Amino acid sequence: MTRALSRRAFLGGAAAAAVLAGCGTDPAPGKIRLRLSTWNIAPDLVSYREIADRYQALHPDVEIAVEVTPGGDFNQWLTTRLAADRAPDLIRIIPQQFGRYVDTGGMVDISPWLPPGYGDDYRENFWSIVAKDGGIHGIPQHTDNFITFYRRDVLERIGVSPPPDAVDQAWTWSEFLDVAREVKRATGAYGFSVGFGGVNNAYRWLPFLYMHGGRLVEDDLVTPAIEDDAGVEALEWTRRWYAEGLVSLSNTVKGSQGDTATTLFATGQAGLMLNNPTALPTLQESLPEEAWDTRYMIQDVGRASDCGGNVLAVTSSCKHPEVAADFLAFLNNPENTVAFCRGGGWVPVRESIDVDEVGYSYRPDTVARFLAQQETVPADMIAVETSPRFNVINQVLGDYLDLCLIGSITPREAAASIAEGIRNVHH
Amino acid sequence: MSTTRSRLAPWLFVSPGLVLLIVFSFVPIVAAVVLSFQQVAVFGQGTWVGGGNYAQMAGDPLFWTSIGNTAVFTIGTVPTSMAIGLLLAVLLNRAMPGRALIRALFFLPMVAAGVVVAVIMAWIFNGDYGVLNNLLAALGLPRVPWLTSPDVAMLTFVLAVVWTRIGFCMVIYLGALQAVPPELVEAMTVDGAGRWTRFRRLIWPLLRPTTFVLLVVNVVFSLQVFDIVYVLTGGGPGFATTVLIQYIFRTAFTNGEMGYASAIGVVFALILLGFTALQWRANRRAEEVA
Repeated sequence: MTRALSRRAFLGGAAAAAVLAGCGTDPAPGKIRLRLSTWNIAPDLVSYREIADRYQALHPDVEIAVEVTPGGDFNQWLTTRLAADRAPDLIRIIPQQFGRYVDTGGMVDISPWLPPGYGDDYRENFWSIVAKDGGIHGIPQHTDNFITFYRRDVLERIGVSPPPDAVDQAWTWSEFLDVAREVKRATGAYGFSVGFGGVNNAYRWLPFLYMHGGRLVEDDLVTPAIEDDAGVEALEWTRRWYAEGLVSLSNTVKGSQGDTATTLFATGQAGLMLNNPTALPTLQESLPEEAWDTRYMIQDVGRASDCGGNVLAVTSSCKHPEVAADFLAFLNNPENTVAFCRGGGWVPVRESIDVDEVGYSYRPDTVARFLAQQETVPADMIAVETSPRFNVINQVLGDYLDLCLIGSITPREAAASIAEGIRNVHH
Repeated sequence: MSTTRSRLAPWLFVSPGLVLLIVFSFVPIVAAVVLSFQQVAVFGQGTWVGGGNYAQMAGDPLFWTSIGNTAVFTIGTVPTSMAIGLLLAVLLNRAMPGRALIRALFFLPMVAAGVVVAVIMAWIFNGDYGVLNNLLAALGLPRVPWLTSPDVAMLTFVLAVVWTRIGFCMVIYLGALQAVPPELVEAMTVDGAGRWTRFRRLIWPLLRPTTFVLLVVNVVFSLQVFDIVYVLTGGGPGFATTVLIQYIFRTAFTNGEMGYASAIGVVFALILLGFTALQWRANRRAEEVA
């Protein structure tokens, strides 16, 4: 027998459901509850959950929830959450977004709760991401950078051998462009693709500036330095990629989608690719292993590569920063770092961990190159990318770099506009 | 007692909606106006700068570029989508096989999320592996730099948005067409009026209120365009597709300049209000003349 649901019964049921839903967000009585928010990457979610379970087994008074950072604009989400004091206790964040939140007090100094010498095992350039203003505002969990990918069939067709397998033996700029021109003839489309990923990733161009001896700003991180000859030449060299049709115009700073470079490479429209490890899952799905290989990042008067990866930090919304910091130290201990990097195919930043210890299941040879390439990520480039106003500088860089690459303004005009933008940011 | 209750009753009925409107619309509007006179970062207190943000706007070339792009986009999308929507409505306002299905197909893009539409468009218009260029290549025609040329990218946006918008215009016009009294149409037909004369002299004047509503709504939609630009080109190539809402968004959440972003938002709201008032007056005058 059925009975019509009365309005009062419906409202009562709804209220009870709301109360129960509210109860679901509360920790068990007497427990400290922490929320860790991370990108929606399935293997990482599993790894975080497993590490959190191990921590909870050791600390029964702590309950850790692993949440997914919502899609859409990260800054909009985190900014409003921090302003409302409702941000997750722990956040996974890229270095280029990190400095802004350290500067505004959004990331807690966890140095009082870290074991002494905790940072000693970390590469100095990456530890500098979190060591700011006399404090430690997070822990760099893993990194990635750019190396050179090539399709074996294309290089065989043009009769070119890859460069020797050593960081200091990588192709130089002129060697690389010579090969790229041959590759373009072989593919009938483009020479190479670049792992630009939209305007928010404009900073991925900076390694080309730094390997040419240029700099975006002076040591004070305020005074622009891109207008010198090295800066203009780096812009000119990059612009030549597009002017000669070596790189697709859909692969510019603003024009690229997240997977543009890998798609062009995987479909054979580009025979070479400068990209980071995020290309590996797509390549695993779309190309046989023997179809491609890698060498180290191209070089010029110096060597440089991208500062990728993520930092884990405790936010100002956290009511138990001492517990959150302890969990972070646990999460990033050598054993858990190995497990996390194995699960997600990530590159560790702890110096004591090598590729064999992690035991990567897919292309450990390529991951080893990413690992060795880490030493070339310039410390002064990391300093500017993690400076407080870099989010605005990155926009300015993306705007005028894009105009330069598509030929709307000259490299000198682009350098002047970027410099002017940096000056405006600091005024 | 009963008089008091009867006076209170309407207020009780409207109060939930009123509270929501006050909390989520009026309060933020007032807060935005206050913020527009301050220099304020994301956190902490702001400092009063008077009309400084508005003065900055006057000399900000990117603000004017985004205004210009928004105007071009609006002019490109509104009349086109309304004209095609009207044409489709007239064609589908008659008995024909599969009419309901065709109507639904045209309306489908309107109910899809903007980001989904943008991702689909990215695959259609991609210069290297997009469906459209592959089709052109198969036909022996040259590839078009749909999203990579500053001269073509805005046109691509107009095309993409018109595709999503025509279904909406069609449905609204269909509703209006079905409200046209058939006896008037029959009377004109008996008097010897042809199809075009019937449309021009009878149907089009009767569609005027609908056209006014559609015009205002479409202009507001176009001025508020954001998601498709954000996903598809990020405002590029260069600044070719940077529109006003996107500029407000980046000023607020990327640059962290909440005061300046609020000032641009206030100007944007005034533009919208001004346009709506002009349209309203023009329509009222036309109705009086009629």
